This record gives sequence, C-alpha cells and structure tokens, in this order.
Amino acid sequence: MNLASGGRSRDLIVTAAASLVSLVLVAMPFGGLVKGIVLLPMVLVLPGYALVAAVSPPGTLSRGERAVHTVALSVSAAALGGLVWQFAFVLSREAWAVLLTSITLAGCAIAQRRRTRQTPIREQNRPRPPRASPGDSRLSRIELPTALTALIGVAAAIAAIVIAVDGLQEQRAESHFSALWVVPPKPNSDAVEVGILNHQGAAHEYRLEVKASGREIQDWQGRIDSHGRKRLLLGPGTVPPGARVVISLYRDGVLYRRTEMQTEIEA
Amino acid sequence: MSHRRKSEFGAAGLLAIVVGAGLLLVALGNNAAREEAGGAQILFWGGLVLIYAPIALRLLSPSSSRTECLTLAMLLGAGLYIVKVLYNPIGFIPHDEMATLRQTWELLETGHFFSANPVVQGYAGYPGLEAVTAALSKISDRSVFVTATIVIGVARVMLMLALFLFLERVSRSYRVAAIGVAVYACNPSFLYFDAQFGYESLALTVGAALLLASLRWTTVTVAERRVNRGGLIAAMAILAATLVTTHHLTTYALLAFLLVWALLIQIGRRGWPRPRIPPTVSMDPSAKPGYRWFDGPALPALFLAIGGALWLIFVAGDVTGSELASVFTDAFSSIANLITGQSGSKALFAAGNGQTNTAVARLLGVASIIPLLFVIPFGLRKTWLRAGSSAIWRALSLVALLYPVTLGLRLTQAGTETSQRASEFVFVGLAFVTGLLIVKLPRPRSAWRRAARPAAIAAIATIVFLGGFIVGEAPVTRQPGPYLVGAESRSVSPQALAAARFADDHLPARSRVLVDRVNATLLAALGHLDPVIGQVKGIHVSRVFFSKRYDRKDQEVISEDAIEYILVDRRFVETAPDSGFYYERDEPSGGKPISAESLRKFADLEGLDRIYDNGAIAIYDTAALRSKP
Repeated sequence: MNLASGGRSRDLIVTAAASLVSLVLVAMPFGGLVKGIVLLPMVLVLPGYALVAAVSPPGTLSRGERAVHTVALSVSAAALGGLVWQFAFVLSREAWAVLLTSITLAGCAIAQRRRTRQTPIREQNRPRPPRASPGDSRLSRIELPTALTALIGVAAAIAAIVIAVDGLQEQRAESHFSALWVVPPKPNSDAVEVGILNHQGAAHEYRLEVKASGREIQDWQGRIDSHGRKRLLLGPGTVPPGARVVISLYRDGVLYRRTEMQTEIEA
Repeated sequence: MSHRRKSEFGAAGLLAIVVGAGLLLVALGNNAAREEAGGAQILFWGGLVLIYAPIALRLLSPSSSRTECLTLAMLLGAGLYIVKVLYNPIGFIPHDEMATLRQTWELLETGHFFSANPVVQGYAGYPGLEAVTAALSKISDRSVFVTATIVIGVARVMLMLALFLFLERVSRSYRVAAIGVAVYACNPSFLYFDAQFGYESLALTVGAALLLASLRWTTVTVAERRVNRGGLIAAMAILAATLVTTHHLTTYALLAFLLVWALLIQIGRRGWPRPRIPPTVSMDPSAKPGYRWFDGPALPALFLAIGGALWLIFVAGDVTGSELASVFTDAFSSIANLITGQSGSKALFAAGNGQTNTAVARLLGVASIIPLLFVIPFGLRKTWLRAGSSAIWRALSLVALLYPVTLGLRLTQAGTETSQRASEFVFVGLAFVTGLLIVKLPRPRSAWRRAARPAAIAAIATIVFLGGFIVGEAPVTRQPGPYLVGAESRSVSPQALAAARFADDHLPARSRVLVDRVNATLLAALGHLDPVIGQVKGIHVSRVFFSKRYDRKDQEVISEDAIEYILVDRRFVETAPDSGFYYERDEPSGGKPISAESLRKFADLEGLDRIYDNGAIAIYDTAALRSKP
C-alpha cells in the first residue's frame, strides 16, 4: 500500500479516479476502438480491485491471488449489481456505467476506512500473509530479451488470427447463391418489400417480375454487384389488398427463384 | 568471477514464440481443412503438439523457477484458448455459444435478466456471464462477439493462475502446481468446450477464486483471522453468490467438494479412522485449539448451499430442472440398462451417425486414459496411507477417484455427456495427485536420466493431452471444414447465416418457428426468433417435416403450437445427419436421410407462403395455414 498525503492510499485514489474518468468517457459522444479499450478496465478490473481492497487488508494477498480475485469480483459486481439493479430499473449503457462506478467508489471508500482503522493494529501486530514461496510477494522484472520474444509470440498469434479470418472468409465466399424475399416492410403494412441478395461472388444481371393476383404490377431489371442487395418497395397503391403476390427472379435470363405472399385484406 | 544472472522467466519468452508458431500451424491446418487440402491434420495436430509439449516439458522440469512456471501456466491457457478462437474467428457457431448469444441479446434489448431462452432453457436462470458481457459490450460499444471473446479469454488465463495458486498452496510446492496445470489442460473439455462463450467457462474461474478464498479462510493465521474475519467472510459470500447466479453444475460440484473436505477435517479431528490411516497434518485448522466447524470449508459450503437452494426455489428451479433432469436421467437409465443387459454399450470412439475415429486417434484416446488410471491408486496411497497428508489432499484424491467412474459413463451415448461435463472438475483431483507423485519421485542418480525423465513424462503428458481432445470432441468438429448435414458447427453455412440475417431484418422478433437443430440456433441467436421443439398434444413437432403429405396432425402442430414460420433446409435430402438427427433426438428419421417428398410438400401447400428462398433454405409464413380449422 502506498500512502499519499493525508493517509490516503494511492492505489485507491488511482482506482477511484480511473473509474470517474471512465464514467465521463462513457458519456462522451465519440466512440472508437481506443475508447473501447480504455473502458475495458471499468468492467473487468476496477470494481474487482476496489472490492478486493475492501475485503483484504494490504499485504494479506499475493499479487497472483489479488489478480484472480480482482477479475472474479469484477464479475460479481456486474452479475450481482446488475441483478439487484434490474429489479427496479432498466440496464442501459448509462445504468451499467453508473452502477459499476458506484460499486468501485463504494469499494474504495470501505477499503480506505478499513485501512485507516487498521493502521495502528497492523503496526502492533501485523498479520503475516501465508506465502507460498519467497517469489510470491514481489514482481519479477521482465528482461528485454524476454519482453521481445513475448512480443514476437503475440505478433505470431495475431498473424494466426488474421490467417484464420482470411481462410474463413474465403470459404464463405465460395458459397454462391442468390436470395429472394418478399415481406411486408412493417407489421400489418399494406405495402410489400421485395429483396434480392447477390452472394454469387460476382456481379450478375437480374430481372424481377412481380404479379398480384396474376396481373403483372412490377418488372425490374438490373445489375447487382457481388454481395450487393436490391430492395423494391411496392406501395399500397401498387399492390391491391388481399392479393396473392408472386415474385419471380430471373438470373442471367433464366428463372431462378420464386417467392410469394398474401397481402393484408383491407379492413 | 562474475556470471549473468539467470532470468526468472526462464524459457517463457522463447516459448511464447513457440506457441505463436503452433498457432500459425493450427490456423494453416484449419484453412487447409476448409479447402479439403492435404496436410490439414498434420498441421493442426502439429500445432497442438508445438503449443503443449514444450510448455509441459518446462513445467515438468525441476530447473524451472516459480515465475517461469506461473507464466507458462498462463501462456498455456491463453495459447490453447486462441486455438478455439481460430476455429471461427469472426463469430460464434457452436450450439451453446449461440444460446448464450441469444440470452445476451435479450439482456441488451430488454435491460432485464431472466428472459426465456429458446435454445437452452437453463441459460435463462444463470445470468452471470451475459451480465458481464452485456456490461462490457454496452460500455465499450463493441460487439457481443468481441467482448465475449475478451471476457472468456481473461477468465481462461485467470483460471490457470487460480489453479496454479490453489495447487501450490495445497501442496506447498510450486512444482506440484506446475505439473498440475499441465495435467489439467488435458481434460477433454479444456480445449473447446470450456473455452466457449458459455456459462461454465466463466463459472470455473469464479469457482476457482472461491476455492482459493476458502483455502485462505481455512488455513489463515490466527492473527489475520482476527484482523480480517469480516473481509474473508464477505469475499466468500460474494463469490458464492456470483457462482450460484452463474452456473448450476459448478456450484454443485464445488459444494460437494467443500462438504467432503469439511467432513474429512472433522474425521481427522476425531482421530478416525485408525490404525491403518495416519492422522492428517496441521495444515488443517482442526489441529489448532479452538477450531469450530465454520472456521473451515463448511462455511463457504453453507453459503453455496443456502444460495443455491434459494436460487433454485425463487429463480431458476424450473429451467435448471428441465435442463439437468433429462441429462442425468438419461445417463443413469442408460447405465442401468447397460448393467441389466437391456441395452448394449455404444461403440467407443464413435459419435452420432457412425462417424468414427482413425486407428491412430483411437490409440491416442486409449493411451491417454492409461497414465491417468495408473496414477490414481498411487495417489490414494500417498494421501490416505502415508503420513504427512491433509484433509484437502484426501478430498482431492477422492475427486481423482471419480475419473474411472466418468470413463464408465462413456459406455453409453447418454452417459457420455455427463462424463464430459464432469471432466473439468475431476481433473482438478487428477492434476493434484499427478503433480504430487511426480514431484516425490526419487531423484535419478545419473545426469542423463535426470534430463530424460521430464522429457519422457512430457511426452506422456502430450499423449494424454491429444487423447483427451480426441475423447472430448467428435471427429467432424475438431477442425472446420466443408458443409455437413446435421453436424453442429460444420453445418453453419453462408446460406444458413443469410437466412438468419433475413429473419433478423424482416421478421418480428420472438416469432415461433419450426426449424432443425442447427438452423434453430442461428435463427434464435442471430435472427431472434423462437425455435419450437418437443411435443404438442403428444405429437412430436418434427413430424411436420417427416410426413410425406401434410395431414391433420401436422395441422394440429401448426395451429396448436402457434407456429408462425417454417424453415426448410433442402440439403437434408442429400445425406443423413452426422449427429444422428436433424431436428430432435427422438425424431422419426431413424438416422436415414429425409425424403425429398417430405420437404417438397411445403412448396405446393395452400396457405403457406414462401417468403424467403436462397436455394438451400426456404422460409414459409404459416399465417393463412394457422387459421385453418
């Protein structure tokens, strides 16, 4: 434990400050990867660290044990805190941020109070933590060669993930098909949405023929790029109520798919 | 004379590169498997060996420092976790991950826990994992997939750290801990099942943290107990409550272990049994004056028991019963039938519809079991018949003794799942006794034997690791590959994903849909529809797919069960399902391909609108059909 001026613990000050800064960051209107990474500890580290500090006097836990309990009690903060919160309120983004910050600050406050109270006791009769080995209590210094080789290992792992992503995307791209659908754009809508998805791996010519109760009401022809979509919205004026709408899709001049739906009958 | 100080991290940095190289091989092997190219298996298995074997060698070596072993334990956990990520690095595909994804979506959508889960009912009652994931996803503004990958990855590394610290404290030897984590990684669920986005993956870490806290509570000094009694109790209570809300089986397994441990402490206090069994040593608080039952593991056990009971009564009784009852009932009845001769055993190393392992894989599977069976009697002897043992040593050796029992369960199809689910707990005991025995082996006299022994044991450990993976994972799902019918992860195709995305974009959320097992998970998790399984008025809903002509009973299913959509996967007529069923276990397929006629009947059925078609998959709207009498 490092004590700042006035007997406050530096680690608790840093934890509380990080939590408040995270709360402000959550409220900021911008997003992005960096912000996402910076906010990770707000959920996975800070609440747990504060709770560990609240339940364990300094020096009683080894660093390894503290790390395990930090993560596990962070899970507790989200799981149990969320459980209690959702009985009364909705768990929105702001709610999660406020909840976890509150738990962190409360943990820090309890820890600070306990540390202040226990200082005289500790000086008189400091409990000795049960140490598994002499190396348990201190941080080992990472030498440059070890750090460099570890970095190379991380780079190789990232390369492996990139290779795996490429392989998976290539495999998926090899499945060639086109999808056709017909649905009301909204529930109970009188309009009809017709859609095409081109997953053929290349641009193709399509022709769409829409018939309502046997009468052609739309004929669209065009090119759709690879992985492109085409949506046609047929309004209530175009599609008669209670009609059977049949959609035929021609790809490169050949009948390829057919879908159908019954439109709502006018009330 | 001056010499350079040896790094405390030893070979850890170098082994990080080796693990990276192993991951590259696995990625290349998986890509080759996707294209059915040669060398896929060699690359994949070679990668696994490259990740596991060198780390195991260093963990087994007496020359490794504690820092090196601790670092390697976490490196092993992280490396093997990435192997799972490499299977499908851009999204979830396994059944349980999809079920958790659906549960997390419900929390993100509604802002409340306990929404019903249409894929795995039990998930609705255990919101721990989706709470953390949803919180992280909301706050960091990242997708559920990204945040879940981070949460499970962190949990995995912490599990290895916690296990190391627990074994170290129990044995008072970091070497036992190092060997223990190497053995634990061999459990059949470790590589894929417990690395997936599922509640058990997180619960194991919370359980390990509670185990560590319980050990501290039990063995803590009088001075610390006096100063920090409230803190220790609060930590155990919070962790117990978290575990109870995260996963049922981990809660029950840990409760059982803590009770056995507490019981053995009490037995030790009373000096029973004698004379063959020596008393336990003073690591147990029972030897200290003024010991009360709640100064030991009985207190955290009480927290788990009370929390678990309350949770079952007020929150999750229904969903837990429906999920676990069938698993255990099927396992016990199948074993009973096997014993009474009413049914035969299943073919070992065969899964589902005749899919089987190669001779080499079978050999590895069998070879992986033998060393573990071998260590158990020696471990029991060491912990029960030798002086210097403690109650927790004896409790852990009893856990190891369950291993042969779980192997027996594998003789039946239904028991295999129970055996699989038990492995992550049973292997904690095996890890401990194996570590204890290896560390206590007499030191060889010759230098080359001293060097050769860790290598030989590491080679055996590697066989156990590979064999464990073979035992735990069906042949078709070990690596990705081309589309297969009814083969879990291998059945997730671009057409199925496109249909699920269509459902998400265009169909009302939580609509009831009749669909096969694999597409059901996609429609539930990505399309947010509610797949329907089971029976209605005693009729299996899957009957609608198998009947040659649409009849009155089919109509009854559609009307009575309020089915709003039907998804038909036309590829099913090509081949029988790999898992043995398309829709549900007791469907009338008999493991044979469904007839084209059965699926074709939907195309011309009056009142059924084909609203989506991508060639392989069609979705029908039953609105007009449902209203028929």
